Amino acid sequence: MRKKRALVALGAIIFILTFVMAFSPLSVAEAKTKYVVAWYADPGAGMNPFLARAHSDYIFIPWMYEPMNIETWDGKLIPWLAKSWEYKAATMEWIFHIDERARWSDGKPVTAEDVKFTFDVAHKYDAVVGNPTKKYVDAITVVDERSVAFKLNETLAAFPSTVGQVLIVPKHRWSNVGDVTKYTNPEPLGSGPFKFKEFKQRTYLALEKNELYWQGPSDIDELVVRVFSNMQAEIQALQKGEVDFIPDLAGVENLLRRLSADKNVNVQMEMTNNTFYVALNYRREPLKNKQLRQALDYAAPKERIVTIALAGYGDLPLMGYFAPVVKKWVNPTVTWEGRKMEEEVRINKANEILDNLGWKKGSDGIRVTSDGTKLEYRIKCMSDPAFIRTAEMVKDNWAKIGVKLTVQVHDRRTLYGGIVFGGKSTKDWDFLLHRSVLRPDPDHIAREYAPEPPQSWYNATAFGWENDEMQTILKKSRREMDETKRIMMIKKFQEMFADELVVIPLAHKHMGYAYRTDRFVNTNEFDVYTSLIPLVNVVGMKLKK
Amino acid sequence: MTLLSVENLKTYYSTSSGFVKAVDGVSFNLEKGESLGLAGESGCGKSTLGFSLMRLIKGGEVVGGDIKLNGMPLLEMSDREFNRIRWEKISLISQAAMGALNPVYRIGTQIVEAIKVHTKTKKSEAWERAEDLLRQVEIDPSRAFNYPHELSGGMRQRAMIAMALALDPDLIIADEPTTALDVVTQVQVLKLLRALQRKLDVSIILISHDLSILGQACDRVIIMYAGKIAEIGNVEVLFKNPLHPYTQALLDSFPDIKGDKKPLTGLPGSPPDLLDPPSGCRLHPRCPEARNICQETEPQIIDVSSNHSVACHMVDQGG
Amino acid sequence: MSSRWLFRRLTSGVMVLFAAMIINFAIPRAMPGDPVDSFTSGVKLTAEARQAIVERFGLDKPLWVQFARYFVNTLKGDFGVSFYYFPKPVLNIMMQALPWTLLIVVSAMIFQVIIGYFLGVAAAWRVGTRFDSIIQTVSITVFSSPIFWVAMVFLYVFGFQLEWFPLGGNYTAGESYPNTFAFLLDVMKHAALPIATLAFSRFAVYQVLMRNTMVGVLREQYIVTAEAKGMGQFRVKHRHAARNAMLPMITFAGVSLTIQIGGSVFIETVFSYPGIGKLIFDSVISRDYPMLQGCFFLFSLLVIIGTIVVDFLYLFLDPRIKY
Ligand SMILES: Nc1ncnc2c1ncn2[C@@H]1O[C@H](COP(=O)(O)OP(=O)(O)O)[C@@H](O)[C@H]1O
Ligand SMILES: [Mg+2]
Repeated sequence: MRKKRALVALGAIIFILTFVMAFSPLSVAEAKTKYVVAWYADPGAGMNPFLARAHSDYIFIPWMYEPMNIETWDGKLIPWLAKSWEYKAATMEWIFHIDERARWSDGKPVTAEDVKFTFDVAHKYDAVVGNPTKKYVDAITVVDERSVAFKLNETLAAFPSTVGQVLIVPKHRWSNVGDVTKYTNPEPLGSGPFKFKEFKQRTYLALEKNELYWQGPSDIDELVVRVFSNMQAEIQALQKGEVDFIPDLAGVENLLRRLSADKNVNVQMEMTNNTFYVALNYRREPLKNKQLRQALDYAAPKERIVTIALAGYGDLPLMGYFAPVVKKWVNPTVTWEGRKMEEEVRINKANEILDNLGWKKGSDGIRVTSDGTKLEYRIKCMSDPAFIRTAEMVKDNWAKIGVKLTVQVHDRRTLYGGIVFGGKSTKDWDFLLHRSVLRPDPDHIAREYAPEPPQSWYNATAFGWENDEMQTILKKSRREMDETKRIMMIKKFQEMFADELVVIPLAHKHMGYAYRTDRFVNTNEFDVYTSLIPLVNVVGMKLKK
Repeated sequence: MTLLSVENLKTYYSTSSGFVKAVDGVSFNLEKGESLGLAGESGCGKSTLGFSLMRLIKGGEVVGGDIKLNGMPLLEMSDREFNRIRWEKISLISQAAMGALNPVYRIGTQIVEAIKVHTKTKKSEAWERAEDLLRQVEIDPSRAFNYPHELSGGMRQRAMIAMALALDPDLIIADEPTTALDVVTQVQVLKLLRALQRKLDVSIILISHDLSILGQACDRVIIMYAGKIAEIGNVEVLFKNPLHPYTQALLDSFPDIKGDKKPLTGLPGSPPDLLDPPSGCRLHPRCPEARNICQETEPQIIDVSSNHSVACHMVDQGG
Repeated sequence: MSSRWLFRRLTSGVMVLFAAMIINFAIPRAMPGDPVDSFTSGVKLTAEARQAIVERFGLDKPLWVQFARYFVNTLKGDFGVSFYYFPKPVLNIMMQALPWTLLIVVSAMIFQVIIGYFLGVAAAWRVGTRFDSIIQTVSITVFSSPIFWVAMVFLYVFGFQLEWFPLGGNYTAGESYPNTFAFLLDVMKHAALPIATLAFSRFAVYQVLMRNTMVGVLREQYIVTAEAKGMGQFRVKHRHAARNAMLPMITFAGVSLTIQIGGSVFIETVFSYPGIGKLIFDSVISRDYPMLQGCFFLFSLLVIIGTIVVDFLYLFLDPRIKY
């Protein structure tokens, strides 16, 4: 009896003591060589580069595995594992030359065999990352130890940038894996600046410096990716010094003003190639009417969307589906006509257009077309505060020109998978508030707006839109090997896109990162890379010593 | 030698509609080794009186009077001091058959607890004492390891008696100790209680609404009515020569041979509301012999003989 | 303990599990449209992956074959492969998450019981007084403030402003510890806020249960006996009254295990804690059906374990109970 009581007491004391001790102040770490990066999700697929589906997977893996080249937001292709490439038009062959310095972190060289193996396997198992190249490649051959040839089944100008989406794996590690899509890759071995150290699912990923990195070892000894599910906490952790770097600030724009005020933190928000826009379901009457689209465009409160919904982290849009940041491909002349007008003037103008069409406002303030259709629609968006706020603002403004909207919010999967896109989607929508983040090379725009063979489940075609002239120019641009001509075509496409008002662009949203100034020095020397933003940022940033 | 003297004790409960005068000016003495019965209808304040002696009143308080145990004024003690009186000097036997024992502890544990709270006895010795006590109340000592629900009602009551004896108290207050038991067990328990009381020379206040029980086990009996003493006297005298109409009525309702109780045949109506008791003699609305004076003045308790006192105007006026 | 009771307990447990299995089995199949789509929640799949799913669940076979296969798999602990964590098995991910949630939930429950016990006892002892009504008002107020909000406030105040605790996670990411004790300490430091939040937000139920039962118990005859025995108030309160009044609270603790895990959905999300709660949250977002089904089954199992534990606790706490 007494013994039992003593045991219980002891247990209770230990239990409480542990909590009391947990209250003692956090031990300040000694001179840290460890840098902590905050991220909002963990790689579900583990460390398998073939399964890197989403952004959340993709961020970590390029620190270990590298692609052939890297595209920057302005449209340049930076040679990476491949130092150069050339095209043999006669045989429709692309030949890539691998950098002699490139080696795996175990010291073995990166060879043509590795590249061939990677692509062969990706195509064979239909790995997610292999999708873009599979269709166009007939055969891959090793030319010599450092050169590999891709024989295509058609001319594809964008092939090098497409190749850059695949991360190269070492054949000597993967040849016995079998189905690569069912492999978790517990001990990754790559060519990147960091080596795998430890991975705790849903918690963190620890990487250490690759001393043998072929472009010279990083200043960072240890890099830890810590998973946060609470963005507010993530930002507080940066301010407190628990993390040193947040590579993606999407979703916390409203907190950034306060964060910028912190002396120890630098917030870097930059434009990327993304466009916030209202898409239209062309199956609905009378959305095919271009004048109506023009009126809607005039009446959209774009300035306020930038300042309010995007918390100031955005720009008024170009109208050609490209953001100005994509210097190589953008047509900077397709500016928004309304940009210099007061909102009131624009709304008057929009009303004028609709009045001229003879579409009168009814007693409820809603316009009715000449053939009796009432301009009463739904605008759908996913459940994200910035989206909902934007949708409400658009709704209020369009009401002023006699177009009534009802805002309908859906979860992301239902909206995109079940309603708008996909072969089995209901197509039961009128307006869609959407944001696209696009890699600079326009090839995928061509694929989306002029799919070959035609499909009915992706972007423009899912909108019920078609336009022979525009689609022809897109298809031609894909096969145009003369880059200057290809750029001309894409610029022409942007003009037509703007003129047609295929969608109603609202803004280009900024994206960015934040870091502690006592840990990094911002040299501002590095380019902002598309697929590998965090990698280059972390590697390129100078450490404060 | 007087063990306990109670002087003009008043215990009132406070309710939202006023004070319930459950005990209202009660005085009596108790000799050492004496067995005093306390009788009266349900609700007349017997338990309140008993509990007042142990300062166990909840929802009310002793508002006046004096209680002396061996000359010590109990009402003036601090709670701490009084805790030493409890069980050491005065212990309580209540209806064990109806849950006066804690259901989650063994019988032995509960007896041992009483010992350990008051003395520095070793645990093993306390257990031995507990087993000894159980033997005294004719329970097999191995039952010490049983839980209350594992014993019969009679056994539980006897265990309760054993517990009450644990510290050799001077006074035991037994509040309806046999009420929930069947007649045969009642008699057994009562005999046991009487025997032990005599053997240990301990004083007892035996509370019951049933006069026949008190007749078997008491030296003296107090008859209470509506918070006051109606009559007090030696068992033989009182039973043979009841002076108070209420006592007479109570005696008339003695159980017959079959043990069935008769209603209070002599008295119509029901006991008064103690929130607002009747003026004068509290019995007068029910009393067959009530007169004007009974409505107006309260009868004083007067000694009829050395061992018989009564509070009734009829007796007062030599009627 | 009679074998009859054991048999009854086991059969009822098995029945609950069986019901859970049937629900798990039926939901994806009862949804309209292509069953594969409901299994993959519309995620774009390659033909091979699609075929793999059809084969795995036997979706081309008659229903009873599918059920038999599902039944056997479940018994083997094979809940299939997570969509989000593909190709990792559901069980694997769940088992990594479970200990963390149990740490938080069980510790929080201990605190809830302790807080609920003492406040409940104190309130019952002074039932009807101002003290009692203050405790009741505070309890209800705390109970009705959203857990999510409480968690955010705790995190901000104790994590960010006062810097007493880290801002999330289950232990310091990528840290190597000199010894196990240092590790445990770090774990506790990380668990402290989640536990505090859960304990703070949910102690009210225990307090109310304890108080109300205690008020009844205090009217019992054996409390009078205990007081008459001349022991101190503390002993009367805790050893005699509270000991009897504890039973409903214990019962509730047993069945509330899953409710607590429900609360931990918010808490783990706010504190970036990699337990089952956050796993459920993530799985709902990513529509990871196999994972959700696994969690549902796990919950059923926990309910059964919870009630059995309570049954056994009762054996110790209430000698009147015999099975
Ligand atoms: N806690 C209490 N509050 C108010 N009235 C009470 C309380 N306890 C007892 N009473 C009242 O006091 C009177 C005497 O009660 P009690 O001493 O229990 O009577 P008895 O034991 O003779 O049956 C009864 O009228 C009863 O209603
Ligand atoms: Mg009574």
